[in-house]
Amino acid sequence: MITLVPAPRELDTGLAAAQPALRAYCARIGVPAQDRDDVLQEALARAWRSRERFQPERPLEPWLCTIALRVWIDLRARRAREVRSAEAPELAEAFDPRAEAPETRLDLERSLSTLRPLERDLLLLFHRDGFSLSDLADRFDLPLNTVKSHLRRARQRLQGQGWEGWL
Amino acid sequence: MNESIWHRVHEHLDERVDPLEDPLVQEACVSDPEFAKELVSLLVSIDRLAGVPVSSSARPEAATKVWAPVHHLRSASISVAAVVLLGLAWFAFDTWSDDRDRPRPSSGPHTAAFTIRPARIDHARIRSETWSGGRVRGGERVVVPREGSDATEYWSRTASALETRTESEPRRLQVYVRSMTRNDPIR
Repeated sequence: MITLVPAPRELDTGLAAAQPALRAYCARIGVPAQDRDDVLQEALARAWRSRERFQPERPLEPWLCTIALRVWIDLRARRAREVRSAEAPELAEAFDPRAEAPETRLDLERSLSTLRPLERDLLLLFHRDGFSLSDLADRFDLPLNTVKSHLRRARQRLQGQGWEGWL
Repeated sequence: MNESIWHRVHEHLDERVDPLEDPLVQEACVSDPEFAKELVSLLVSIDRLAGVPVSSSARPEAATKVWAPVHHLRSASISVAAVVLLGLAWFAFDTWSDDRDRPRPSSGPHTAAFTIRPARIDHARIRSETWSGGRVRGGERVVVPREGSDATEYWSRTASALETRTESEPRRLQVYVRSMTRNDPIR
């Protein structure tokens, strides 16, 4: 049995009113024109599904913008993982849901290769393999704050690698 | 302001917390779309790291092997120096011992020199205070069997006796059976 949670009146009226501002925000954060309707639709749908968490005393627009941002991040991440195999994409995804198209993976590896070896290793071990900061500090015999600094520099360098062109 | 927000973002990432859960980051995203764009790029790139094949990066063990020597340079240097010094010490001892144990013309028919190389006996440890069968040379125990005894048999008995004595003895002294002369009795 599905229990419907009544939406607060502020949310009910606010969602419709926020659409133009939300669309403009999507444009400002770089959502291409062809994707804006999808992002907007999904953001409003998520907001509606999460209406229990809506706090009427807080402004609606930042909440919606954050949701739209998450939708856009998810969309980009999903596209980056798409397997462009014409033969059997569903099979490839079943075997490796995180598989990427070869060309985007090559781009990523090329960008990683521009990092310093230590930064690259720390970045992958932390974000990909799930090692803790203290594990890395022990393994590399580095102070914890030094590990953090290396990770931060690695992220900043990746951030500046022109990821926009990948999608 | 931007710098402090980025600092918060990295702190959240270090703690594996979604930066977008932070109200200050949310506010920054709304008020500064450029910041939001950069944050999106960063988060997507981090998400994509999960797809990087393991083979393209150093595994922890390999990374440790590659980097440990660099970061353990001091201890590595000490280790190398210790090994070199031990080698030199052994060479000096061996040379000195060979000279000492070399049969002299005056020894006559009673002298029979033989050597059991340390490689054969380095598992044996001895507690010098309780072993009365030899002399101490520069901290090392030198066991001297009786004249006429069979070196291998002698060593087998000695080694088993020494191992028994050594089980509860943390101090380690290497035992060398170097020579057998009538002037160096066991007891």
